[in-house]
Amino acid sequence: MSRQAQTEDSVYMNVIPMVDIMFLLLLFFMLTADFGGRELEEVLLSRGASIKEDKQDEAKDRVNINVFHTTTVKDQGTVECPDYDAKKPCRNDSHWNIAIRGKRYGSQELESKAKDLARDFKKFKQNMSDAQAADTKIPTELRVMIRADMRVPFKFVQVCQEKLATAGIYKLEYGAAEPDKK
Amino acid sequence: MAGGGGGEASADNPLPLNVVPLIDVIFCLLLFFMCSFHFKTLEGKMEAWLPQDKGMSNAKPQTDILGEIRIVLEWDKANNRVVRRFGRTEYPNDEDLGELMRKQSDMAKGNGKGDIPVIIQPDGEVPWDEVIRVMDITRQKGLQKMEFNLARSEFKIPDRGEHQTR
Repeated sequence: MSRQAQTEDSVYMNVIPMVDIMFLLLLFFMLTADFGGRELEEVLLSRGASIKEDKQDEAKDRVNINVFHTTTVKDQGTVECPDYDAKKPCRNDSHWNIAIRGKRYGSQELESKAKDLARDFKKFKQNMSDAQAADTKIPTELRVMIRADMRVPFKFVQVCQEKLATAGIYKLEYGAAEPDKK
Repeated sequence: MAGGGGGEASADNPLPLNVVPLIDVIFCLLLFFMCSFHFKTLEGKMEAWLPQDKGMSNAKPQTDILGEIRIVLEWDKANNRVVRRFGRTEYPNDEDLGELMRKQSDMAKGNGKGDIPVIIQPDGEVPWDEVIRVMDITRQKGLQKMEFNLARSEFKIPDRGEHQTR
């Protein structure tokens, strides 16, 4: 009587749970990916204890203006700025940029852009006539968030405020970060 | 007979479906999203709407000091610091500044003036962080009306040529 040794059983690896986990991970990372315009520039925001949560549905139709420093040599950029790298205010005006959706603007261009944004919003979202939309004295409900680096001199933010006010945009929000939890 | 691999049709599954490329694509996508993922600081916002009806102005401070709480921020270049003033008094300490705002607000309410605005008047060289700090103190004290002294500035940023005027 011989017992035949068990023939070799192939060892099958059940990949179904692995594929399930991969789908879940993929779903997680896809849902948390943020390709919003505000992510285009690295900005060190000021911290504030009284900030309100920035909900995604409130951010719909909102325009983000980023006020940021040109990337420094330390971060593989093009300008030397030891003050900025040391997290101190940078006083070199040429290092600072104002951008909307990745495009940079000077003072006149920003005013023109703000008027375009206000006009389009009034025409398409607030259903105003062309004449009303073009009239900068009629304020718009368009919300604008200014995300300014904490080291930027106020005059850059002031330019943004001034140009937005000229275009009839008065609903301004300022980006801030939560304080460090100690 | 040896069992078939993934591509072999079985009696139960007449349609062979090769899932190996599917898993490869999923791996690639997963790798992409993992590499582009980063933990970021939770961002919030502070609202400080501009006054609709006032527009641009070079408004001088009111003579009636109870009608507003005007906080002036100036950059002291010689000493490399920000000077925060209410009237002629300097308030370098956040707690003192907050208490001042609270007292002024309560005084104004007591005099029947209702909620008076906190007007923040920074000069152009003050770091933005200092301005946010004053805004934060204002909000922490429960004062909702906050405005910037919106005056025309002489400062101009050179145009970049990236915007097409319509």
